[in-house]
Amino acid sequence: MKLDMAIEELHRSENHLVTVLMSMSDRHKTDHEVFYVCRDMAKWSRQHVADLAAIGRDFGLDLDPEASEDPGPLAAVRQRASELMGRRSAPGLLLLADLRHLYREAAGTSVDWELLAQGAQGAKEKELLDLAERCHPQSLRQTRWANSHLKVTSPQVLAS
Amino acid sequence: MVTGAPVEETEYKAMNPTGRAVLKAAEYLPPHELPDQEFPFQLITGRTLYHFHTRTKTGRAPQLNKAAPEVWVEMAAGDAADRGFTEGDLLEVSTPRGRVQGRLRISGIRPGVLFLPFHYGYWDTDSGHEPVKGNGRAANELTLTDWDPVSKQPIFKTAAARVERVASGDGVPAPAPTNTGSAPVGTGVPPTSGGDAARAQELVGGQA
Repeated sequence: MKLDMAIEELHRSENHLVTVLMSMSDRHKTDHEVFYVCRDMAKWSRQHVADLAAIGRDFGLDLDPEASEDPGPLAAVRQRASELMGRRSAPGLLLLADLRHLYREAAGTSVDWELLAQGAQGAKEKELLDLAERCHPQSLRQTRWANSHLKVTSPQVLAS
Repeated sequence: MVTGAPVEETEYKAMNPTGRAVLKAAEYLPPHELPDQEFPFQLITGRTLYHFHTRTKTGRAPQLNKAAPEVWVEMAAGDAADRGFTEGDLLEVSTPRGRVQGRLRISGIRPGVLFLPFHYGYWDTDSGHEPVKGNGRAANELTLTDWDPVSKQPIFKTAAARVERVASGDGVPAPAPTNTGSAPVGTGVPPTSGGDAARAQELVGGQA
């Protein structure tokens, strides 16, 4: 059985998503919707990391339940820099790049949840399947937001 | 509901709505700013019956202006008693973003909550567009710049705030209407009234 590998990989990618979302949020402090929505979505991934660490124990894994995040001062510097950059045109391109990156990371994580759910169903691991069914929709919502926000932002940035 | 991402056409069609509305449940979401040790109150901002938006019209109607001429702060009786505040005391309400000074109206508001009306800007002050010597009166300076991602409604009801007394009221009540939500809990506040100038007489067909 290789379910442990799948759990470990998901733990890694959800952990990475927390970092991606939080640093993206800090970089776009002046874009208030991006700032708050990214933070709200990071909460989901943080919870997923904790849930995966908890269930990982049943599969002989020792995973960290706390998502590894950037230290506070670095986040503060990013936010300050974002405030100084303000609403010039360059942050628009940066936002597109960040959204594109987030979309790819979240889509990868979402596929991993799909794999884990299929594996759990095949191995009749009820608890693992429940977890996947609970977390996968949130992972999809992260992807969908990145995609829809790309649509909202790109015309203004690319056509100006 | 958290993200505001739209449902695409194919997804919508997959729900097979055939013209029916689709009701969706939304989970509880905690506010982005909750009260803590430093900012122990929940601040909500809102309206009064006598004014519309920034009072550019209602502020020019003498009776409406007299009913609510200046910004005030509402607080529950228990919260005011705990701090020794009385009706009419000049308070300073501050959040991590700004501060506003106004007289205290002890009203029937929920304990732990402060209310500020948002009608008072700077167009009718000497400076015209900004606070005079830092004495702000625009409640919007205190709220978060945050909105609901779905409807884009600004979030004006969930700021954390602290309150300090700047000066005693010396018996002068808050410039708030004595009816509607700002009705005083205590007695001795003269009631809001239009006065003789507000009286009107209508003659229909020459008969009163």
